[in-house]
Amino acid sequence: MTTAAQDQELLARVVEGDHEAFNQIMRHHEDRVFSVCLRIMGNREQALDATQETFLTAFRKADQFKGNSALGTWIYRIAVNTCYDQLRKQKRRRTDPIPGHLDPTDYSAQDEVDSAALRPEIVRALAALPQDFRSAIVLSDIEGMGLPEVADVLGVPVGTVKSRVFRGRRLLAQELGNQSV
Amino acid sequence: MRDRDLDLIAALVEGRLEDETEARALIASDPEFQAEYESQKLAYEALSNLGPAMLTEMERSALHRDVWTELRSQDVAGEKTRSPWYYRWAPVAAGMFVVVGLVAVINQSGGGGDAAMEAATATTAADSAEGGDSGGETSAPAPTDGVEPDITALLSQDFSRAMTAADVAYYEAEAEKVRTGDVDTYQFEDEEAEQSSRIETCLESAELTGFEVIGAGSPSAEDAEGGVAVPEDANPYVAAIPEDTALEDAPIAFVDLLTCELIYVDQ
Repeated sequence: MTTAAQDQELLARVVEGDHEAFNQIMRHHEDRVFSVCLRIMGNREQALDATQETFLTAFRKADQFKGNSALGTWIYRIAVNTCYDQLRKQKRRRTDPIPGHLDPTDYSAQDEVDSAALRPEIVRALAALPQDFRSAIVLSDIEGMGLPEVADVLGVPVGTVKSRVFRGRRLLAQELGNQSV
Repeated sequence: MRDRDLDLIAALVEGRLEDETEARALIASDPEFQAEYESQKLAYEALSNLGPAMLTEMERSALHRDVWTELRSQDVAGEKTRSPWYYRWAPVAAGMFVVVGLVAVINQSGGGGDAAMEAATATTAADSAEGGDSGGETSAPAPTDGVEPDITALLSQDFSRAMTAADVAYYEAEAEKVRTGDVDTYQFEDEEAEQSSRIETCLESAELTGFEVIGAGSPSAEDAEGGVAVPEDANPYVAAIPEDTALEDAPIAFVDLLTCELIYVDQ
């Protein structure tokens, strides 16, 4: 885990154009960013796109980082917002019916690694949740972040996170129950 | 159900309790608590079993290759030329100039009035912000006796980001669109509530309390019409002004919707 001072130093080097510093940041956070994106987007290819976009944004906006939160928190915040943005764009694009082989709910079309990492029934249930609830339980219950860190990433009070996690789980259980009927 | 009951049930579900007696008694006391516990447990266990995902080696290689290809093609690091050094000190110099002028006026008029003081202070803050837009570092503004503290805080923001002239031109053009009601807005559709909540969250993160949203934009190639190029790294933004301020008089704050950072203020 990097300290705040190391984070600041790494970011300062990135701003100066030090590619190796940015590589260090990527290596440190890429799996978790990808994991967050995968659980929010529900599709590896889209999650990879969102992960790429997250790091491009982090690189380009490195000089905006004010150090008010940990570097990781800042990057995960960008990741969550990037996922929201891409989901929004997808919805806007979906004016025509989606061909069956591209439908994200067509799990038979996904490869083996998908089925191992994404349990279809949970992915469907997660996808049915409002985004605010989904991101809260992804960060808390899948990524194992503490409530204060989730609050930092999402930029909301801890009490709000607690409420979103609780209500998100309740909705998820309902969705899982509906699927099993 | 009280907050404490919910906390207790959540703690029991997550296995955080050393002594589960009280929690067990609670869920045994009421079928509603029992049902809540079971649904929480079902969801929590399903999610925990899912666990974090990892990139495959092929995906990792593709990620690094694509990120660096993109960055090199745009040469982002080299493209961001910083503003000349004197731009950084311009707002400070302007502020000092006004303060010196103010002192002279006060001395001449034998003490001056509060109105003159407030007007001069407001001008100082506004001048500082203009410099801030150019990427300069600004000195802290003089206190304004609690008059419009949000605006003062906004204008005293340190815009450490080195903006290119193209960036500034872009946001000036977007501000003009906002002022004329011609901004590209998000099509919220059924996500309206979620997007609104996200925007509010971003405003809070950018410490823009007391501001209201007046538009949100998503840069696209179409924005290039009229000769204003869209910066390569422009992200969706939300534009906000201080509450209860007329749009034509208000500074427009632009907040990056991906990083939730304040990126520009148009006067």
